[in-house]
Amino acid sequence: MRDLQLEKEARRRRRNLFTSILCLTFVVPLIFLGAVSLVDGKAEVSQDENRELAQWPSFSFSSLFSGEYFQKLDAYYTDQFPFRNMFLSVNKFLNNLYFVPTGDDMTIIKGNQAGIGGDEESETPSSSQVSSESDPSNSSESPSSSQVSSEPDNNTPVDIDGNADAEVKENYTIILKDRIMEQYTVSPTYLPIHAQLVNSIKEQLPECRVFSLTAPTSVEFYSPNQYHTGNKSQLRTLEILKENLSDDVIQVNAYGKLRNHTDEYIYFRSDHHWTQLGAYYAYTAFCESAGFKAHDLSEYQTGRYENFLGTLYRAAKNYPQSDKVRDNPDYLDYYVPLSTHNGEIYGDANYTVQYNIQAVKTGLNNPTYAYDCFCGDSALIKFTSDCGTGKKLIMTKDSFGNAFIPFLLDHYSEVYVVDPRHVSKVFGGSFRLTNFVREHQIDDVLVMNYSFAAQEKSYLTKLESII
Amino acid sequence: MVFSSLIFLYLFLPVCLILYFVARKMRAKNIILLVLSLLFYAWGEPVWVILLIFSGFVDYFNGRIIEANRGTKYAKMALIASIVINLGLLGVFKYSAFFIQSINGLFSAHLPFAEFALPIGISFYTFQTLSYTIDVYRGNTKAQMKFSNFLLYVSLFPQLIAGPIVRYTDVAEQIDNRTTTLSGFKNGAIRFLTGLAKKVLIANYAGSVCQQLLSSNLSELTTAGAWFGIFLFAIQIYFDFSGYSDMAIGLGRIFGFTYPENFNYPYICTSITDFWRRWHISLSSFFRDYVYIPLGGNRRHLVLNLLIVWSLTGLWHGASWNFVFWGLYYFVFLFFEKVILKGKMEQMPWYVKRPYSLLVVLIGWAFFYFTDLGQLGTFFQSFFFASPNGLIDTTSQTIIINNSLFAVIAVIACLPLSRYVKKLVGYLGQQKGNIGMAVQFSLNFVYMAGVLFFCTASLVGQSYNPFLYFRF
Repeated sequence: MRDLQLEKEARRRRRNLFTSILCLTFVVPLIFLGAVSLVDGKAEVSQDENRELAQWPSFSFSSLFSGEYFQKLDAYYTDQFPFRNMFLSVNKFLNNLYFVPTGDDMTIIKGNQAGIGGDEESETPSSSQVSSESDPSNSSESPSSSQVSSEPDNNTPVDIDGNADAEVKENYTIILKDRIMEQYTVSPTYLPIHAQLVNSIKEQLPECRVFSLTAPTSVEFYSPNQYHTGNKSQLRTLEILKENLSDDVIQVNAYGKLRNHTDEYIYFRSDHHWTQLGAYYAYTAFCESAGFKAHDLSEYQTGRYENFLGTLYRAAKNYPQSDKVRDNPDYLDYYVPLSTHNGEIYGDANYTVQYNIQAVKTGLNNPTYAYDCFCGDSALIKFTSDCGTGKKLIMTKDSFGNAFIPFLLDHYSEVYVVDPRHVSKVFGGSFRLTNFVREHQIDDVLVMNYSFAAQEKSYLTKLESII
Repeated sequence: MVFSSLIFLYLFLPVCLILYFVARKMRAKNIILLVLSLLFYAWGEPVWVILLIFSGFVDYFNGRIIEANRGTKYAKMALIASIVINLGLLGVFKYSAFFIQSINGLFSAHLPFAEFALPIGISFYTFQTLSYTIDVYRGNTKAQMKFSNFLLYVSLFPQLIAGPIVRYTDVAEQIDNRTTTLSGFKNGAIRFLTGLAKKVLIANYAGSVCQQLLSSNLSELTTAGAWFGIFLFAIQIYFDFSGYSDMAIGLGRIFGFTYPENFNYPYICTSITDFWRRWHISLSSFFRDYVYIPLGGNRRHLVLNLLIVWSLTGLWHGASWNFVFWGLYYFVFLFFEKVILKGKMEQMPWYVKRPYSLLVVLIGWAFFYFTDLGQLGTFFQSFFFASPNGLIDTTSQTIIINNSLFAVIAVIACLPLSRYVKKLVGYLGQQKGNIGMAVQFSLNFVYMAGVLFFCTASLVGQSYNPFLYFRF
């Protein structure tokens, strides 16, 4: 009897011990990680994600009452959580647990909502700036083209903000074997606006040749049928542009050249850009339109940057399906212009030269982002080359243009490169493409975009503001 | 603040636990809980925390008047004042814009309206305080004499934001007099972690895939996509909401409170009547006890009573027409089951009653999901095999195959299997000798540590937000 009682007592004690340990299993990690989170060093930038991490917010009563202060504290705490990278890889393992691959090894993941329209002002669909009603205040910093033009009968003013924004969609990204591609959908609303902007350049500069070059992306050539037909067809994009471009504007058929070379390495598999080889084929199309003889590929001095993992890989890195891309990274082959040249980047509205660059940077040491070996994105760069033609060209471009510029330097003595996304930061509102062309007696104008930017509202708004 | 955030888990909660269990006296514990609860609320609503305190004060005050003037007209006046003020607050903050917009729409009028951001949890806490005054008036409970105690009941952070709707009578005794035990703490922690896993590992995942199908590319929706999408939404809303209730009940238990259960495996229901006995129980019982039965219940005007209750239930979920339709949709089926079949639905064979119930609930979620009636129409077109995009395409096929394992796991998680697991684990603990107890301990240990670890990883993962165009 006594033994039984003793045993009961022992069991009770053991049970209590176990229960206490279980309580500690819950409490100790909370207190431990909580304490570490308070004393842990803080990082400013996440290399992996290519973004600045949230920092301790500054206090103000207005941000306190609007709730913004606590939201920022939340974001700060999450971004700066201890052992963040370890937890991120555990999360990747978790994603993999659920995942069932399809027979053709395809995955559709949520892409990134960030727009193309430049770093600090990117607009997301939820942004309050995206208004479905015509709101004059939205375009206050970007006078519409009708104001810029002195001609009285300058068609209808281009009204970018007046269009319903129902088309703004979330970006989905497709991983197909070891290639990552952004899903594309044609915008019947914004493409005609794009064409009108190019038309208005031509109308204001009748003495210049105006070229329009729109580069397709890899999803057009390497995805299952459904992702490049119907309202996803980038050929359709070019047709809409053609229908809306004036006959005086020369449309460059880069698409046709690229399509003939899809078995070559014309697009990166981990990055949203084309390779410089892809840009080269677009250049041969440009030469046909402009009446030049294109140089043969073998004439250029070349070099290679190995182990390149680009933007799309970063976006998909959190998904285990992207591992195939990581295990088979891209490389970047560059082609150096034949002519000796120099580029000047302007740093302010007085055209002060900030620094000099080359169109292709050779000999970089393990660049973190290899596509940066081209001239990059600046408000205005002036390239001078010793090719001796005496001709001048100005181009507006997004980052697809960067790999294309080197080829132009063998045909134009001066090439001016404008990136509409960065102009207002350097020039305020003072830069006008049309005035600039007249002042510098420029012969040719090239409006170059890849098919996403060609129909992106914020990009077009910025393009409009500099014409 | 929400439970499924790192700052709650690793800053708020540990601080709260330390302070609470270091304090010895119940009075001190209650003050700690009250202050932290108000902070918890103010984190999301730095301004409208005033409204919460005001609403609490109104009912506290009216409760005392009723108590002091029982049976007189003053008690009745206090009750009416409380109802008018509570519903008035709800009306102004939640419904005014909706009503005026609807009137403007109907009569092409241009009445002005102010659009308030809906104060978090207002629908929950006004119902709680309302139930208190009514219960005091009915004599079901005595009025609370201490304002701080009453405010604690209203604002207690575990159940403040998303229920369950705890009635004062459920916890009246526990406010001044409750015990916290080691095993209560352990069970509460396990319950909390279960809820966290439901929310973070299942609901969030289902939500992101559902959004891929039903939000972002609605114009390209196929029939297969519509079915899979609304299935995922059914998973998301159940695991989200019941996970939140689990977390609330678990936290309550850690602090010695016993909250009512809010969900009872709703997707194993055998009729729509049964579904509503299993889904958001604290809300449906609120409407039953404070609206349906006072109106006459089954005895008088059954159909009218049902209509009123289900319009209100719909409207409670949101100030928008789709929620009203959602409530009326359930009215139709409850009318069918109660009035036409006279409760014989549950006697049907399983292969009739279960598919019927699930299909009705599934279609119901479409009314819940689409606040835009045009989008709802597009969805139904695809759902009922008339999609302009066909039955299935590469996108929907890929998404369905990629997530098929998740779908199976989620369906299993809807079944009451955990009951058997709990029974088994409990049985092990009762066995003679040490092995059973040791196995029970190990299972619990692995479960708790694993859930906490993986949920943390998943929450950190949600902040992985690569910025593609950072430098372009």
